[in-house]
Amino acid sequence: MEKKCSQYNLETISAFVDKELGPKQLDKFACHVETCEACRLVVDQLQGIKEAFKSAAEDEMKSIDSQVFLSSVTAKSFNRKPAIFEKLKEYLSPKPILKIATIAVILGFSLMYFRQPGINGIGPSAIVNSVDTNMSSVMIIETIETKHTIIWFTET
Amino acid sequence: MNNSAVHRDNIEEAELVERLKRGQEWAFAILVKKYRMQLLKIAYGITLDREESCEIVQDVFVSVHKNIKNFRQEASLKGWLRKITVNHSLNWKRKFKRRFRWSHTPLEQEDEKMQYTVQKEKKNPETAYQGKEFEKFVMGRIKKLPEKVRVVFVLNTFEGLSYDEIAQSLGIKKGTVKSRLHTARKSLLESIRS
Ligand SMILES: [Zn+2]
Repeated sequence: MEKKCSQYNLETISAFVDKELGPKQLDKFACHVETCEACRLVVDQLQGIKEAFKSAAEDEMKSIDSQVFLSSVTAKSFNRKPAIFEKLKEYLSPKPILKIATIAVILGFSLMYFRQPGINGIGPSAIVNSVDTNMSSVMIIETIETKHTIIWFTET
Repeated sequence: MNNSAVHRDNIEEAELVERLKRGQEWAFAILVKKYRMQLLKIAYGITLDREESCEIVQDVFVSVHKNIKNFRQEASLKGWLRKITVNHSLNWKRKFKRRFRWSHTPLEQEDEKMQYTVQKEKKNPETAYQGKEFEKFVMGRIKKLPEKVRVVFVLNTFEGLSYDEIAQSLGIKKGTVKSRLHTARKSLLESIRS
């Protein structure tokens, strides 16, 4: 069981770690923490958590190749896109009549998808591809039992 | 790298924005180079998904390229990019897809494995809350935090924003920022205290 400080709570210690204490409070707490083992431990733990989170994210994101990232994002921004999905996007562009049709299709596909025996509970194994437009999205999902299922949904 | 390249890297933000508005590709490359890592970390902190974060940040830059004309020079470019990244990370369509992906990726056999015990006798107290083992444990716990709590924690931890800045950036009250941070920390601290 860890010791507990009788003077300061987690809120103050958090504010100290975040440099959110006012000058007076800061002076008082800074002196206190020198002598209070319980508070020092919490400060260490909070800083440890901060550093661990930062370091884990940094490690994970460092593995993304910067050159590949840049080429890909430049191609996307300066319109050097794969043609096939652009065609699909065009087809899904927000025309009023399509909106109604899309809603119908979503309902249809969703019902079909969830009614199939054995599908519930298995879950898709991968999202093969997806296309988003302002009003609708298409997701091509691969499941264990079916080859591909397309789910459409819309934002109204 | 030659001198002119160095000069280009150091170009002032205002000039960078100006050049982005003119659609110059090399200015765009500088923008990406300058902010890529920072935005990736924000996206990863929220989504905890590597591929997803990469896609999100690519979309952020694409959207910046498209909308740079609407950017007001007096606003901060960094703040603008941060805001777009947070919004993209919280987008419901993305969350929907992420849930599918997560549902298929077995979460590590968490609870049994995720008992972090500080071996006080063996470990120096100064290094007890460091290292890969601790990092893995913390990440497992962070994944369990509600997303709205995690977003606040991300902006606090990665961006070092003040409570006021977080409140402003997310459009919530300062009190809410404090209470969400408190929730995050209380839960994380409880989990490391065996
Ligand atoms: Zn104390």
